[in-house]
Amino acid sequence: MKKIEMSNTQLFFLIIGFLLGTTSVLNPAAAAQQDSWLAFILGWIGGLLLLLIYVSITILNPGKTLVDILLETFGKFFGTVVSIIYIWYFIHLAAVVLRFFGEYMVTVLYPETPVVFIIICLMLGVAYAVRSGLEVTVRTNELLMPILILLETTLSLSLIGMYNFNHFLPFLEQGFGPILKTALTGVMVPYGENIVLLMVFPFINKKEELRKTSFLAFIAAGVLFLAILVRDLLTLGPEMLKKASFPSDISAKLIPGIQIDPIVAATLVISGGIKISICTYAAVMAISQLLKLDDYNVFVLPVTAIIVSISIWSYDSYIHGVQWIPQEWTMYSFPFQVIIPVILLVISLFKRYSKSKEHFR
Amino acid sequence: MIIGLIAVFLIIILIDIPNLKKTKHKARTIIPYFFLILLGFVLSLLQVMDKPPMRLHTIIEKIIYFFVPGG
Amino acid sequence: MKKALKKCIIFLNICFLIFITSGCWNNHDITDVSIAVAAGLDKTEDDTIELTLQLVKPAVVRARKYGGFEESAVSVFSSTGDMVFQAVRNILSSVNKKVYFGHLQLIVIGEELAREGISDILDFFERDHEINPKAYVIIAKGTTARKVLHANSKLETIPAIHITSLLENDIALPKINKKMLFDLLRETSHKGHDITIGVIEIEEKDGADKELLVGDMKVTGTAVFKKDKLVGWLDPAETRGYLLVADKVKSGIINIPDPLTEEGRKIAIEIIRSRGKRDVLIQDGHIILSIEIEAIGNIGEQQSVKDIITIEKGKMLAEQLNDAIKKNVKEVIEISQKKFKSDIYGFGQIVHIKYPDYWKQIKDNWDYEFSNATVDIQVTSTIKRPGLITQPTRPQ
Repeated sequence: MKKIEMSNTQLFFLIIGFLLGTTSVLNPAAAAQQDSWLAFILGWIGGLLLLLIYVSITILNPGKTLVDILLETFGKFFGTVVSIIYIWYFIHLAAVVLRFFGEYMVTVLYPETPVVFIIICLMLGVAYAVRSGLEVTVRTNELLMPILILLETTLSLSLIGMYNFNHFLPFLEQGFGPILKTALTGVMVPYGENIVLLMVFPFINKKEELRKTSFLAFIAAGVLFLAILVRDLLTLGPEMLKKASFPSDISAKLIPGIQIDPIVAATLVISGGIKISICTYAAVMAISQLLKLDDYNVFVLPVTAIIVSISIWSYDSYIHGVQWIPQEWTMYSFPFQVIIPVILLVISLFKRYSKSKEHFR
Repeated sequence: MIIGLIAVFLIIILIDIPNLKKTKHKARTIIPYFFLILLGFVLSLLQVMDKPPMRLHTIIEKIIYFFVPGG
Repeated sequence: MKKALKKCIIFLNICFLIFITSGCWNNHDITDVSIAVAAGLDKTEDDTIELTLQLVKPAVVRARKYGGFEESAVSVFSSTGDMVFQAVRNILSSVNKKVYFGHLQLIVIGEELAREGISDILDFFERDHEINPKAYVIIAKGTTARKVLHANSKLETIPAIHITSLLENDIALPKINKKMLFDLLRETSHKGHDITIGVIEIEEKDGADKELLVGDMKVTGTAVFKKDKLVGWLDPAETRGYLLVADKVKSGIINIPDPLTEEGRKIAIEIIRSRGKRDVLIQDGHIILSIEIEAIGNIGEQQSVKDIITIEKGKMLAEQLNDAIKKNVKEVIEISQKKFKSDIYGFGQIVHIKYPDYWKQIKDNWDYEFSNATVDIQVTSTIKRPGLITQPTRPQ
């Protein structure tokens, strides 16, 4: 297999970018209105647990990607079957993110352009990135992430004059239940999607640093998310936060004096782009691993085409998507994001345990 | 539209031909490759002709509700 | 062969990029678009909505900058429709270029339409992505939005800008109620807060036949709403009383009677800072609305001859100011409680935040509770400086 290497910083920014994905523009916690920050933090803790599971799996099976681990754990036949299902999941995930990205662009900036066109444009960039190799993608991301962070910080600071801390109140108006519910959705999207990173984790240079780097990145991403969410909450107010299709866009429009709301679109291109690129890479990488090939390059374009058509096929309209994603999509992702990883973890632990037992014999 | 679609896929194949020629394990590469191309083509064709057999979300919903009664 | 192919691909890439980045479906060249700078909504006799747009002619704006070009820099068009969006499209029957709302500064709503309720018509503005939520909203009192938008301006090239800059004078003249579309939408969705919007009306002047100018109109006063329907007005002085409580007064003049003379002489105090705090206390099931106002002022103008610069005289002045403010504020509270039964201050919102369980019980009855609540007003003012003179100059 081609030798790929990633530095700590690269992984760090990669995780942040991947997590940010589309959530930077629409945070599922927003449904909790004035308590959304709490729902978010709870969801984040859940995400941390998931990350712990994922990272542990990689550490217990050093140097192996998800596909390798699946093949080892479930045997050749079942391992292949499950891997194929995961490939499908990666493709579907990329498609859904892509669709969201397209819908945002079309709603906010280009109402008359058919969504397909925007999607194809982005995918061309993604295809090129993936074809150029993981290092290139990751390096580009390393460059773009600080810009994104700078942009978001600028937005948050410009709006300070409009922050109204009353928007945090009344606290827990509807009780704890709805918050938990929102938090739970918030765990699957986007944190559960970290499973995709298992295709990428093994390539970090210093294997020992994986845990530290990924946790640091997770914390950083959480802080960034929270800053964005709080900014939108304090500016727009709880009711508007909940009903806005894209709260960050409206916040950006309120900056006095200038109209820089396309900046939000720019951040979405960066974060959405990296997420889709990694998902595409994961799919293509998995395919070539299953086929025991050295090079995945050939498969990029056909997979890209599949992703484009799936993204259109996923759901009918944006309105439908808004309802569908927190419900059916979350349930559908559950086995991929939780059930199978937990099984893998348990089996990996078991193997490690019995191996160390053998050592002592 | 359909012609455009065919053109796109032909271009894709054209771009990949040098790579396909280079690979060591021809059979293992070319067969899955064309499988994927076919899949992509069929899916796109269905979208373009506006005749998807069943919307994807419906399929997913059916699968979910099969496993989880009451959803 | 390979090199040529590579070059070919690069060339195609460049062509493609140029093709994509220079224009697409949504490309609107600035010359292909009419820029709407103000929108007006009125009710027609057949119960449809009349939309009036003030569109800019960029070429004329530029020409006027460079020379005494007299032609109006805007054109005004109207159209009707059952709903706002329809009216917007219908305007294309008279306007040759598609309307671009990205620079909309002002939305004027006619009085008649406001009385029927504005939530419906605002929906379009909230949903459309082009419209800037920082646009100002005002109600046309005693006239139609259409008339207001037809008015020309002698001070600004674009009349709508004249109006918006008038609104921005609210920092010096607290009789103006400036409201952004975004704040309006936010307040509408708040439970327990009835909205107010600033007002524009035509002053009666002679020569009723001549062309209407923005200079003939004034933007003082407030329109009071209950839920989303217009129910009444506050005059300019009352507006000030309202804004003092709403903590929106940045500077202004209050005339107080001179405490040292009896002939009804006045002293003008310039408020340089003011703060209004609202709170709600619930004691034994009684709701008390508490208002605290702090004002700091300077002496701006004095009519009498007496020397007023001593500490106790300063205190007397402050007392007078307290009374004046208290009277002003009390008047307006009573009007909103008794006459309109409309909580324009957002006390309900405070109850919601402070006593969420209690709010759940009374929120449907809040109008009644609000009207019958006791009001407690505390005013503290300080007079700081007398200006450049300590004694007035008068002929001896």
